Amino acid sequence: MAAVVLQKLSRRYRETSAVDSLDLEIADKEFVILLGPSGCGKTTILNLIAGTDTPTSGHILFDGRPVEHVPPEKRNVSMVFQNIALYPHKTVYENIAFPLRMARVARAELDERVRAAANLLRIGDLLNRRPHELSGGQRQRVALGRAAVRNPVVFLFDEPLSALDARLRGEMRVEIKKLHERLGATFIYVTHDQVEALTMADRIAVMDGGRLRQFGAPDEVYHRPANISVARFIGSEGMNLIAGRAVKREGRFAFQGSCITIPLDDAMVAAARVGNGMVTLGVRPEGLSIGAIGIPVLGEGRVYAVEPLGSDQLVNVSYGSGDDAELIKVRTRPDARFRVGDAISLSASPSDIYLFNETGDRMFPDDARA
Amino acid sequence: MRWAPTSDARFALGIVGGVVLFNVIIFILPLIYAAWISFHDRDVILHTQEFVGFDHYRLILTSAEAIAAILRSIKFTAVVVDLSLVMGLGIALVLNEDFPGRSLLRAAILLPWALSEVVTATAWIFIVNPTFGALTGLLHPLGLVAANHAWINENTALYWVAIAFVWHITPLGTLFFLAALQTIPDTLYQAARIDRAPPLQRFVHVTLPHLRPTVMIVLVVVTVEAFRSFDLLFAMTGGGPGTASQTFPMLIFRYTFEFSRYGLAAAASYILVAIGMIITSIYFLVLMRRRHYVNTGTLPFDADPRSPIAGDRTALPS
Repeated sequence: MAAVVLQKLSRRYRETSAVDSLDLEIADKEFVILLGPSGCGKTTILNLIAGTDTPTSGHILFDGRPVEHVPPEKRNVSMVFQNIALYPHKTVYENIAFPLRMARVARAELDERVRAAANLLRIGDLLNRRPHELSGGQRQRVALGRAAVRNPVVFLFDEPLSALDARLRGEMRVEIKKLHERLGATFIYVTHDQVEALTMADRIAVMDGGRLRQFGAPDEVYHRPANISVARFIGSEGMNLIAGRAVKREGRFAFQGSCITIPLDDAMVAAARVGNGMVTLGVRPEGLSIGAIGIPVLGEGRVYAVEPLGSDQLVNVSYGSGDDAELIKVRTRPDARFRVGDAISLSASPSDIYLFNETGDRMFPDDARA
Repeated sequence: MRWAPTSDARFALGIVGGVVLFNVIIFILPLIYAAWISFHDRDVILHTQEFVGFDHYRLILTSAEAIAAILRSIKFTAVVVDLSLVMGLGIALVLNEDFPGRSLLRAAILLPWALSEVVTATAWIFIVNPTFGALTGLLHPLGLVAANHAWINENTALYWVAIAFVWHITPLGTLFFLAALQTIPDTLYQAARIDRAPPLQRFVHVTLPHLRPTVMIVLVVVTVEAFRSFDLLFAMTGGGPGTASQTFPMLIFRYTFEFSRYGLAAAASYILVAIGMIITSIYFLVLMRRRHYVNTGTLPFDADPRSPIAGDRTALPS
């Protein structure tokens, strides 16, 4: 078990920078998920921690000990790969036993540990099969078993569930969370699926463009996104974001998008210290309600499309028309009936409104008011 | 004739039929004709021929000269297969690494195979020439051999032609191995490193199992190539000195063109083919006892092993 610290970690390939001066402190026994879109550098970070890639600059510390020049076979980490990477010609038993054989563990102990790992993951009856005889979920369990059979200081996961179907993914999420509880080890997990991040992580590191955008508990990154890229990425639908500017009209401040005007209350104005600069207003689909009940009011738009989701539904409301039109998603009860083209009013409570400045950082609510 | 839209099958038949016909004419018919010749004794001067049944086969299999030639062929093939397999794999492993000038070297390595066997033979004749050859030129100044060391003699001739043939055929194996090496997913090596396998273990547990089917292919191809090889031997030693490098194909050549014993030559050719098939069958029996799979479970989309896209069941015959 180990605490993992990344200090000013960078990895550049010729022209491009995959990881750019990253600082991250992961506590011992913590389950941290690196979340970000494809190509944001998260897999590179995992390879750097595993040792299969070498940083251009910066340090990686395991329990305070620098390891960036230690080869992967000496770092004592386990890794579960996106493409599973089981040894195709070996049985399930031999796959799980392989790390122990390499460590020259005695036969009796090896057998005991392989069977214990297999039972933990409920693959005890598959030990004589070969990978090609297993389903995707079973293969992933074997890969978890191979990682869990020895006692590594860190477990690394590289999008392990992305090849599985939705039902199996849900099942394996629980399995991995349970594994973390049982092993009490440090887990570092890479994914682009924010559901995986929100459901499993102790803390989420949101990555974009090789940089860390926010590092916090799931609740925190959802409710207090540090910037636009986090707001856009977290949440099953992402936040509605409207570009515009703050304007003063008849003595009152308001947010003016291309087709939407929203009055701003004093707290927002104070927090944002808005002048006439560019502002992005954000509001989550679940923070909006239909009808002019809350304040601020977004005004009247038209139903553009309805997406029933079973447990609830998403209504897309358009404001304006043509190229300037703004499309706002609203989450509603599943039994509410809407027809495309209906006029519809939206409102949000001030606590559901977010304001971001020109550089994309959150201004409202500000951290002092948390 | 009007082609209905449903005539795909007929169209396919037409195309395949042409190829089949072509093969029958240039391949099957001569084969049958050769078999027919092997059962007859023909006198080219008197223009007579007589059915002799299996006499030619019996004659060859009881002739000391023919048996010696067959054994020489087997020895030649054994040397060629062993050396070219090890060297082919070794060179492929080196070329699979990333280093500057790799693509150039990969192209250059094919050159010996692209050269005709006669050219290869000529080059090696120069190398092993006793007086002005490169080998003598290199080793004589070091005091290792005499100034006119006879490299090719009755004891060494077969090995020298084998070495020349290895030089010629090794790139073929390298090509096969290199192609196979590139299909091994990188993550398997990463996984093995993280599982703390040192380089030799990674080779044994990741590389070799993946190369198994390729080893089989290279073995069969090189064996067949070596066993029937004629051009290089003919150009380099002509079977000599004496009969020191007279392999079975060389003997068949002499039956045909020196002794005009066409029936005997045809029968010998069939025996050559039979021996080749026996050796190949042994490879299959020994190497393919276990079913073997390529690239299993490493593709992200083959979640269900029963699905037709699972595509990882490249099972070779058990």
